Amino acid sequence: MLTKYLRDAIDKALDKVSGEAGWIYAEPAFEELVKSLDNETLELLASSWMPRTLRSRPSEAVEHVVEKLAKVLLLAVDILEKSGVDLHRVDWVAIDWRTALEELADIDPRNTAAMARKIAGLAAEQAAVPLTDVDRGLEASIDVMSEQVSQQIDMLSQLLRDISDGLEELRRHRVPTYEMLRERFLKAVEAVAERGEKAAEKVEEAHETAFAGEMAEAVKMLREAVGDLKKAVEDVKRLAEEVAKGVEEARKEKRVEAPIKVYGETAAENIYLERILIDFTALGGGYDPVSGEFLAPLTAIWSLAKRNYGAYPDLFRAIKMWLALNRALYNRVFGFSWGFIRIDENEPEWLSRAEQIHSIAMRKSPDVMDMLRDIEREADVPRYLYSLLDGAIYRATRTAYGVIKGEPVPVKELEKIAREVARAPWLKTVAVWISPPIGRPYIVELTIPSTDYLKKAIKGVCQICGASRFSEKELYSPAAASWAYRSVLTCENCLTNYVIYADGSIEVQIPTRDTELWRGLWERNPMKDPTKPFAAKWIDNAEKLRGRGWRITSIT
Amino acid sequence: MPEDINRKLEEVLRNLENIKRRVKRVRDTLVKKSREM
Repeated sequence: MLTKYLRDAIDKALDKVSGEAGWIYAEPAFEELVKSLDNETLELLASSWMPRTLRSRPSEAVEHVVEKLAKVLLLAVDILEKSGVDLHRVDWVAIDWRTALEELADIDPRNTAAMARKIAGLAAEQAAVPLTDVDRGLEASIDVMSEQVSQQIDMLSQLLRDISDGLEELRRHRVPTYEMLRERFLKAVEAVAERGEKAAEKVEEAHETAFAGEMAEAVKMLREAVGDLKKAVEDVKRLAEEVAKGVEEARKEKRVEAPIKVYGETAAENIYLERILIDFTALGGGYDPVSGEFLAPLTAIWSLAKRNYGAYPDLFRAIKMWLALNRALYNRVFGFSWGFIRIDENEPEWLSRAEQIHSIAMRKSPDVMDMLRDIEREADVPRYLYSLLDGAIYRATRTAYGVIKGEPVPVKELEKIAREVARAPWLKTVAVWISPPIGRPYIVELTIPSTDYLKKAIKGVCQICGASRFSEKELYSPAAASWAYRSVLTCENCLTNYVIYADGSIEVQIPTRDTELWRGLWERNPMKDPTKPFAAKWIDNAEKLRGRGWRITSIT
Repeated sequence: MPEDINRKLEEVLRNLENIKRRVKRVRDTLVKKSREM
């Protein structure tokens, strides 16, 4: 594309420079040089030498490049003359112009003198003449190589830091690919370390060679070091792009979970918190300055909870630890909001500790199920404490816990469900008042299926009889086989129940004819057919509902 | 980011910075030598 403007550009450049002193020597060089100017080289030089706005006008870009090259050659000839080089001895044809042009593109566009020295150096090298000032051509190469090493290293450092920051964000967003990307990052860091070492070795060799006065050889070695670094940049770039894409998607999905800050409300509490943090750190945890959370493996939390129970035999302290642990586990398994809200300002300390431990336990469970089994087996957890919890938190979460206690479900599977549930439109958050047999009452936030969502699903009318009056129930004590809560809408006309479960599934429970309920309905049924619980149309309606993927059952 | 990865990363970044310094040294030597000749 660009080469079609080349002929005109050469003519224009010749008009400008042909009258200059020394052009008679520069012209043969110019003729050879323009032979290497293809689209690719022209684009390379234009992108290096020109502002973006000018580059968008190809004819002007080509003119600019060609004119600059002519001036560089004039200056190179001048240097050669001043250095006493017999210009007739220079075989311009033998010069590798393509490589020379690529190297010119690396030189600061304002530094025409450096470009000229570069060309003069190549000419002198080709003519094999002893040089004085011409060796400065090598200086230009040295500058270019040195600059390129710095550039590549800066790029590499920036990319690695970007990946590290990106991964940190993916971790906080709990993006499933985090672990895989982290592994790749580890490998990439190792690879960069390896390539970096190689480059460092070449640089060292270049230094020794330079001392020995073999400058061209030293420059060659620097060039190889640049090559190594460029390869490292290419490798890391791909990973950086993937991580950046992951971060972008995670941000779109707003997976961010608000971090729970650790805080102490009194000086004494701060001291206590500090002590706990030291314990956590000793157990493999650490402070995360980005989120302000303290992170530790669950095993660490469990052993700390036990240790503190032993150290502080006070029942409440143990309960607090236990609550914190439980909350941590439920959060870990289900991911949705179990927020303990303090209601007693006179008892501030336990909550902040529970919050703190919870925040730590949010991360990195080795295996929640194993942990729960361990907890059950622990002899030093008093039975009455267990019962106490059974009556409070445990009661509120028994289905969740029941699944884990009964049929073993892989933790990953539970986590998957939890992630889906946490984003589900059919859930709403409510607060439940819990009064334990000992201690002060508190509120637990529960996320439950929403009857509003259910009403929208049935468009406000009973799908069986068409009535629009419903009674609502939210049930917190679900059947053991279910893993979460359910909410129920009951049609006040035909008494059909619409049940929504926490996984978003909907069940339609239709009264059977064997009940008092049915008999009442039958009395109201104009068809008065004893073989059918409803009018035929109602039966048809019920059948149609199956097509929606809803579960149709009977109330017996 | 776990501490061990951070440590490794910082080490690699330090080494890369060292290479930059070494290259500057090479450059200075080369320029000096070139002017001596």
